[in-house]
Amino acid sequence: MATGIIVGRPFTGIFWGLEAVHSALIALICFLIVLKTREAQQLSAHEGIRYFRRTFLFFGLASLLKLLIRHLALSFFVYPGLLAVADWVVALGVTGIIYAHTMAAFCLLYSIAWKDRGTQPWVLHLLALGVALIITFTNAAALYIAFQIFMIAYSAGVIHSLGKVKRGRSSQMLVIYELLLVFWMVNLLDTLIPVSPAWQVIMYLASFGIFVAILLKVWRRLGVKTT
Amino acid sequence: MTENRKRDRLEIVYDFLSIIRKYDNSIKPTPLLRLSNLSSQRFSEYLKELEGKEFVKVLENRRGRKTVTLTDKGFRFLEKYQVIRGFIDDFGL
Repeated sequence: MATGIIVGRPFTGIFWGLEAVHSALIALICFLIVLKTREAQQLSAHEGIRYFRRTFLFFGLASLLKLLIRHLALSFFVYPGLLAVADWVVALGVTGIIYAHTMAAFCLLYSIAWKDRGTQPWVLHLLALGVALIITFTNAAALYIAFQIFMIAYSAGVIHSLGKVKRGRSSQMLVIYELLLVFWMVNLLDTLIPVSPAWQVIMYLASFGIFVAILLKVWRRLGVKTT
Repeated sequence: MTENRKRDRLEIVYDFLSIIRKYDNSIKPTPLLRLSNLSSQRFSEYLKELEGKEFVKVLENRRGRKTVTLTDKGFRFLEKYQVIRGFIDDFGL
């Protein structure tokens, strides 16, 4: 099983804490975005807003699961008795993380291109789950990387082509979407490659900045008063 | 409301509810149909949908005459429309 994909990096003191704080903050920001856009979705029933909210719901879930799994993995060392179930628990978590991450990517694409794409939501869920199960249970880290690179390239293509069509104010947001893709890549790097601590801190700050920028934009647009 | 381009669903709902508000929150279905610039079939679909979502209420008096009025949710939609529209445009949704 591909447990090494997510928990492969060594547990190193302060960076373990840093990662935990980073994951928790990203999850918190994502859930705040979901909450803040609730009324707009309820009133408008707009497909774009629906997918936009799901993007952050799944990003948030992925971050939360990552935090949970890394935490659980640590407890396996503290309580060796749990090692018997460790593989399965972590595999389940890894499946969940890949599924949530893939769904977030699909939803991000659909939030801006929903008019042109008529796929039923269950197809996306099925596809994301299939990808997650295959990658986890074949321990195919290379497949995971290839899939992520494909998704990033495809998303970049869609966003770029939409950027040509949608000019003006919305093109500002396409820049933010492109930054989200950067976060995606950063996350991929962080997940797979044990990088230097300094680089890791830069990556965390960059992704945190992107999510804060989106939250502030949502907050400003929908008003400070919560629903 | 006067526009030549095709309105999206959200704009149609906004126009529909705006007309009701403009007529002191009580309008008969026939003038509403005329003012909303919709075919009778699409008008019925929208009216049914908005009634189902509790944006409007269709009231019937003793003589069997119907009037359409906004609910609190309908007023809330009108109040929030510009903000929601701006959000959709800003985020390119």
